[in-house]
Amino acid sequence: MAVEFLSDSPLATVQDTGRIGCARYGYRRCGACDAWSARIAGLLCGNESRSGQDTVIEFTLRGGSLRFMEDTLFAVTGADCDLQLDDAAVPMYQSLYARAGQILNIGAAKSGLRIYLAVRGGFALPPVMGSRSTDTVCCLGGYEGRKLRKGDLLPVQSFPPGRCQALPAAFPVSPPGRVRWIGADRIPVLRVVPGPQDGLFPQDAGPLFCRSVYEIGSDSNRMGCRLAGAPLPVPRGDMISDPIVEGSVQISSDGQPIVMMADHQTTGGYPKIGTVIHSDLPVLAQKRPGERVAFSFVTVEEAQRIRRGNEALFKELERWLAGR
Amino acid sequence: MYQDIMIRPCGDQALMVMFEQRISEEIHQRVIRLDVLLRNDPAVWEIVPAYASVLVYYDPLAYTYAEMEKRIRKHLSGDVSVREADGKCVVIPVCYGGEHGPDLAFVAANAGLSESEVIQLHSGREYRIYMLGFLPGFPYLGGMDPRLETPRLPSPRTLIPAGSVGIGGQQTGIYPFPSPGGWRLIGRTPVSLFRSSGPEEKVPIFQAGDRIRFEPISPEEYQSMMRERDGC
Repeated sequence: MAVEFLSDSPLATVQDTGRIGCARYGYRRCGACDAWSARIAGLLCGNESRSGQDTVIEFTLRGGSLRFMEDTLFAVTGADCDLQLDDAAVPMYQSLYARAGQILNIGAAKSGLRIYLAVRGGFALPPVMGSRSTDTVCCLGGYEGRKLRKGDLLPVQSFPPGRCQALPAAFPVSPPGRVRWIGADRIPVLRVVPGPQDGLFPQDAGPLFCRSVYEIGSDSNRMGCRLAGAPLPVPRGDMISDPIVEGSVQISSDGQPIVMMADHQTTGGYPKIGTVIHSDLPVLAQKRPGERVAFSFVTVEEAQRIRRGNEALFKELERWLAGR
Repeated sequence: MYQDIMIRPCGDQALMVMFEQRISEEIHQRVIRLDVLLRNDPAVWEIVPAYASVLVYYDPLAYTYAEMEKRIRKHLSGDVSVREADGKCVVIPVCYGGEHGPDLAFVAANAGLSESEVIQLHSGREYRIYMLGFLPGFPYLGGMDPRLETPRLPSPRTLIPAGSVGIGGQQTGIYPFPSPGGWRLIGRTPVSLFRSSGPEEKVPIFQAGDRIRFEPISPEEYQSMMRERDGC
């Protein structure tokens, strides 16, 4: 079984839940930036969240065209876009059967930034250090370590047929979070756990960080989200490089934050005022350059409570999808 | 005794153990000791040791931050054999100068030394690996002779061949992959920095806590080792 890529997309890569366990060797974690949407896409296809079945294609800003070489169950989630299977419009957030030879056309994102396509069984690509995520910086993993191009043939794991299922209307398409209204603008407030270097910053840095509104820079990518807003006072002197996690909020020497995204380097030398909680990273991953975000601090206990709540939501969804 | 160690959250699924923030062998030995102890803890998902800190990922669904902090404090007072925490010494054969080390002459001139003196100083000691990062398998080494300190290139080269050994400021290191870079290149190794059991597993031949010693080889030896590696 296979899917043929028919058009060049600006950035389409194979991703999964990430290359876990080898940051100590310098491997970037990678994985879907909006793990929430990627997970829903997989669940709608009846895939399990274990290695191999958790693969998706992540499209940035624009989708693309694909031909299904055999009958394939697929689902598209993430940024809002138009889908056409041959000539018929089809919905997102629903798994559908494509017959052999049918062409799926994924339109440009109308709002949001990243679109996810999952297929029943997942993409059958060789893992590198336990993951099929594409690391385009180091050119490894995924499909030949690079973004997908016209003519690429992606093998699909053969798997017993699944059922067409829609996401229940009650299930949130993005993680529930906080918002702040500025005029008519709805600004997502990303929750941040202070640390590890929050103590190095001058005292007024934290309150200013939470009061400000930041615009997402055009030089943002899968490695980091560069933000522009009121510059924060920064610690004096250099710090010794230390490890980074996805969501780390580095403050560069000009006082502007960079939020580390899935392809971040494993270590860095800028102080980190806090870490965007796991549950709010998908929200940031769907924001485009020019759009705005704000931050607020939460305790690590609160962040873990939110994490458990979201995990319970997914468990419930899994049961609901399996029970039908 | 361990009050000087700070533990802070890194979001909801990781925490950072921070020792006294300076670069020294003694601090790094404590980093590696903790790394070794944590490897047997089922609550720990992933450990990333660095110069003076250890990043620890854990399962946030099974353990709270407070529980993990307590576990870590307990590990910090645990015992580990010196042998385990001491690491190994990896010998890296290097062909210095010529086409493999185009900047050797510059480094020598900058230091007011002859090229062979630079080679002697560079290869005449063991370097501690403080962490791997930047690229998979890229070692951050400590302990270079201060006389070899050389400013980086004014503008980085667009492509440095894999295996290149360079000096950037006070640091020396090896490029495991072809990559852009601004370090002064003094030589190249013909050996792969990964022990590969196929394309799926590319684990570096060394890790944080190990040591590296560079061993000068001739261009002929370089060629023959290269041929051996390529299997012809």
